[in-house]
Parts: sequence; C-alpha cells; structure tokens
Amino acid sequence: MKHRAEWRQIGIVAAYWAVLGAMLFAPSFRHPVLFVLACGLSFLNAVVIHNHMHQGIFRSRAFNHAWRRVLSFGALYPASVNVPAHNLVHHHFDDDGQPDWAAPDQVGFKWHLLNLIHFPNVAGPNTFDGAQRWAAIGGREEFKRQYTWDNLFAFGVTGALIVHDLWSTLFFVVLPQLYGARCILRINLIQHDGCDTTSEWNHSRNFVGRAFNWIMCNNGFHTIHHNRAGLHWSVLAEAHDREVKPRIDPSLDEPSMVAYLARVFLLTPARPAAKDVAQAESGAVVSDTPALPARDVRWVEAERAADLAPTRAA
Amino acid sequence: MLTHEVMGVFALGVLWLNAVLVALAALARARDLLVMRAVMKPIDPARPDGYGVLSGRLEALAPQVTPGVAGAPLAELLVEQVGRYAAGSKRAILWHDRSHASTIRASKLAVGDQTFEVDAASELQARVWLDAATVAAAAACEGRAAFEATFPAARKAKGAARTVCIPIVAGTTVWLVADARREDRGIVLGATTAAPIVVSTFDPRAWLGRRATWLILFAPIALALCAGCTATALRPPVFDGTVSKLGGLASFIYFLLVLPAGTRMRDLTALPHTRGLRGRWDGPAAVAATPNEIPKS
Repeated sequence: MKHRAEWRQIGIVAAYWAVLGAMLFAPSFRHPVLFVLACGLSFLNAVVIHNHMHQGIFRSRAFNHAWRRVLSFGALYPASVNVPAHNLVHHHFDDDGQPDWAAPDQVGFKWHLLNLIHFPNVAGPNTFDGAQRWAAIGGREEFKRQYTWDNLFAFGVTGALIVHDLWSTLFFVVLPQLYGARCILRINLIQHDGCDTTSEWNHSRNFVGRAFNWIMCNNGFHTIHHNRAGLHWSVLAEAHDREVKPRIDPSLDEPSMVAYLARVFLLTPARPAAKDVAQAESGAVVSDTPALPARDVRWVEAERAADLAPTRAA
Repeated sequence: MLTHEVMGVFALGVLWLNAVLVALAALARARDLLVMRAVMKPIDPARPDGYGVLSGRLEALAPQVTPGVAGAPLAELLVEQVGRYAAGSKRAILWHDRSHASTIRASKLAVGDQTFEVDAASELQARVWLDAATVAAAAACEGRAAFEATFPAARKAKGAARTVCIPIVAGTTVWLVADARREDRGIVLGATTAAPIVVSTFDPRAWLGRRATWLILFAPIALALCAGCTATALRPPVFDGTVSKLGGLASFIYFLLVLPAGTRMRDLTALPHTRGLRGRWDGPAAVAATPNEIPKS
C-alpha cells in the first residue's frame, strides 16, 4: 500500500460489504439503521472509487485493477468510467469544447430540491454516453478492457445474487448500490452550482468540517483537489488552508454539508441566484504558494497519472 | 424490521419518483418549445410589426459582382470539430463537436412583391436552422483524397481540426424569425436585445410543434411503462410468483433504461443551431471513390 491512510478507505469498503452481506444472507439484520448505514457506506464506496481512480492505493498494478472490480460492484457502475468522466472532463469543466457531462445547469426545475433528486437522471446517462464515445477513439484499448472487466464483475456478481434471491438482492443490495452511485453524481451539483467554473479558485464549493472530512476522506476540500489533482487526499486540508482560503469567496467555504443541504434545498424553494464569486481571487495577495500550471498542462498531468495515452498537446 | 412488503413500497416509491421526474423534465422542455413557438407569430407582410415569422426568398443587398459566381453566404451555420482516429483495425475518423455558431449577414427578404431589409446579427443573436440531412451531407467525407489528407492529423494527440460551414445563399426560400420595425430606410427585420433572429430553411413553428408533440407523448408512455412494470410486480402471489418476480426484474431494467431515454429525448429535441453533428469518416475501403480519384495502373 502506498499510504497508511488508505486503511481508512479499505475499512469503509470492508464495512460496506459486511453490512450488505449481513442484510442479504441473514434476515435478522434487515433493520432500518443498517439499511441507512449501507446507503451511507455505498456513497463512501463511491468516494473511495474517486480517490482510487486518481491514485491507485496499492503499489501493485494487478491489485489496483482487482480493487477497481471490488469497488465497481459496490457502486454498480464501472470504476474506470471515472477516468474520462471525472479525471479528464469534469476536472477541466470541459469535454473538448463541450460542457462537462455533469455540469450543474443540466437540470432546470424551478424547485431546487427537484434538481437535487433529478440530477443523476441526467448526469448518469450523459456520463455513460460520453464515456462510450471517448472509448471509441484509438489508443484507449486498455481503458476499454478495464471498463469491460469492471462492468462484467459489477453486473456479474449482482446478477448472480439476483438469481440466488431476486427480491432480497434488489432491496438490500441494489438499492444501496444505486443510492451511492447517484449521490456521488449529486455531489457535482452540490459542489459546483452557483460557482464560477471559468475561474481558477472559485469553481467549487468546499465543506470544511473536520469530522465530515475524516469520514469523507477529505473530499470536502474540492477546490484544491480540482487544482492539484495529483495531491494525495490525506494532505488536502493543509493545502486548502494554505492555497485556497486566501483566494476563495468565503461563501464557498461551507462549515457543514448537512446545514448547506437543508438551507439550499429544503428551506429555500428557488435555486440561489448566481453571485460573482470569482472577484475574491482577483484581489488576493498570495506570495508563498507555487503558481498554478495552465489548464492544458494539468490535463496532461491528469492523463499521465491515470496511465493514459495523451489526447491533447500541453 | 424491513420486510419485503416495506421495502417493496419503498422501492416502488423510488422508481415512481424518478420516472415522474423524467416525464416532468420532458414536459418542461415541451413547454419551453411551445412558448418559443407561440412567440413566433406569423407576421402579416402587408402590415409587418413586432416579433414573429415571415417566409420569403433571401436576397443579397447588392447585386452579384461577378455573374454566375456565388456570392458570400447570407447566413451560415459553423460547427467546429476535432477528428480522432477510431479504435479497431479499420481506419476511420470520429468527429467531436467543439462549438456551434451561427452568422447572419445583412440581406433582403423578398415576400411576394415586397422586400424587407434584414439586419446583420451578432453571433450571440444569430440562429441558423438547417435540416439534419443537409448538415450531415455537408460534413460527410468528400472522398479518398479528403480522408487521406485528414487521417495523419487525426492520429496525433491534438487531432484534426476543421470547421463545417453550411451556408444559406441568395435565392434560398427561408423562414425568418425576427423583429419587424419601421425605420427611415423602411421596414427592417432584425434581432432585439431579448429575442434572437432565426433564419431557417424549414418552417420553425411546425418543427417546434412536432418536437413538443414527441416530448408530450414521451411522458405518458414512460409513465405507462412504469405502471406496467409495477402492475406486473404486484401480481399475486406478490414476491413468490414468477410473474411478480419478472415484474421486479422488469422494474429494475426499466429504471436503468428510462434515464437514458429521457436524455435521448432532450438530444432529439435540441434546437437545430446547437444540435450535435459529430459523425464518422470511414477509410478508403468503405469510401466510394469518384472516377477521377481512382489511380491509373
């Protein structure tokens, strides 16, 4: 393993599989608390997919590929899809001139809560459609192989469980799987709606609570993750304080995600009006941090980190 | 404890909530298209006034300088694309749209025995609507030479860049959606700060009506299929019977399919000036070579 901190991620996935297994094979464990826990762990499983697809947690390539399969089953989608959908397109808010497949403006209900619920219904198909087109280009055969194996494992194991016990699998395995997969898509709306994705430092909303970030493996620090995708998740909190805080509009540093969700989606029916958040970075004085490389350079770095053939000249 | 009955109700709730949202999104899009159509009121050529649609022949402001040579296009749809080589043993180029733009130059619209001046429009205010077949034909591979000239660049990381330009030339019958206002030079058709100018080679009102109808039909069909899956899953003996089990499985598959169906409807009803073009050029083996391109042996 590359980092000791990865044990937290392995623990999350082990706990998730244990809860799913218990509910599926032992009816006495089918308790609402365990079901809610399974849904929460499924979301965290998707967070682990995100981290793993940025930096494989094992030194061994074979172990990393095997781990992708395990994670793919937990989310019922191929973990490899994160490479084009997240690492390349979403990190740059750009599909080679076209919008990010998970751009917040893909949904437009006036009642903002409906946007939160509906968002995965649009971003999900966009993602798989985009990934198919991306994979059809030459030089991406290794990605296609991984994508196919991830799919075969995720749907193969789920299918076998369905054959074993249809209803229990649908209720106690598939529902948590889908919950996690859909919630990780919703994060795109939560972390970018109302932000300025053309700016360098005010494109994302951060959730900076300490306990939240312990559980979420620091995925609340989204701005620094976008800008320095090569940083390990365990060091994002310090990097956020050092590089992001001086340049970000204070309204994009939310102390609590629960409070944000309640305020924006439950207590206020309408979508919040856009605000010029990028102004914060124009006046920021930051002298002791390295300059941010150009977006094209970051694109190439992201491709290299994901073991991909270059698709763009730096 | 979570019994199958409790979880069944919960799962059906999730299924229906999302099916209804997909249907509502389609209906909201249909409403937007119908609102757009309602704004495009037919303009009476005898008393042109306000925003609406007029059909006529598009003409250049000044006569052609060189007889027999086509002048500059009066309106153009421009699709910027990048081509990259396709995976697999067959040589092919896959095109990806980078941007869509429309340009409308100053011209005249002849309607019966009347002529109205058409103002040029900025890229932000111009919309050129062409039928999908015309656009696809303009983007198709012209032959072996074009493919061979493009393929090396498509093999590189940057890809092969091109701009597909589809012009509307003088003499074309168009539907013009614009604001008709009286100025010193007569009646002028143009954009307003709030409404764009559309030059279309087909009736935009009919097009919008048809697309809205598709979306309106999609919503009840999607919900009827959901109802069918639900009814099958609830067929007694619920949970134990084969029909009920098939209904459960069908509900799961329906959930996985109705979402891409919703986004497909969105793409099918995209406004023509932003509609995805993409496309594929197949290598020489599949491209019919014209006689003068066949090498002499």
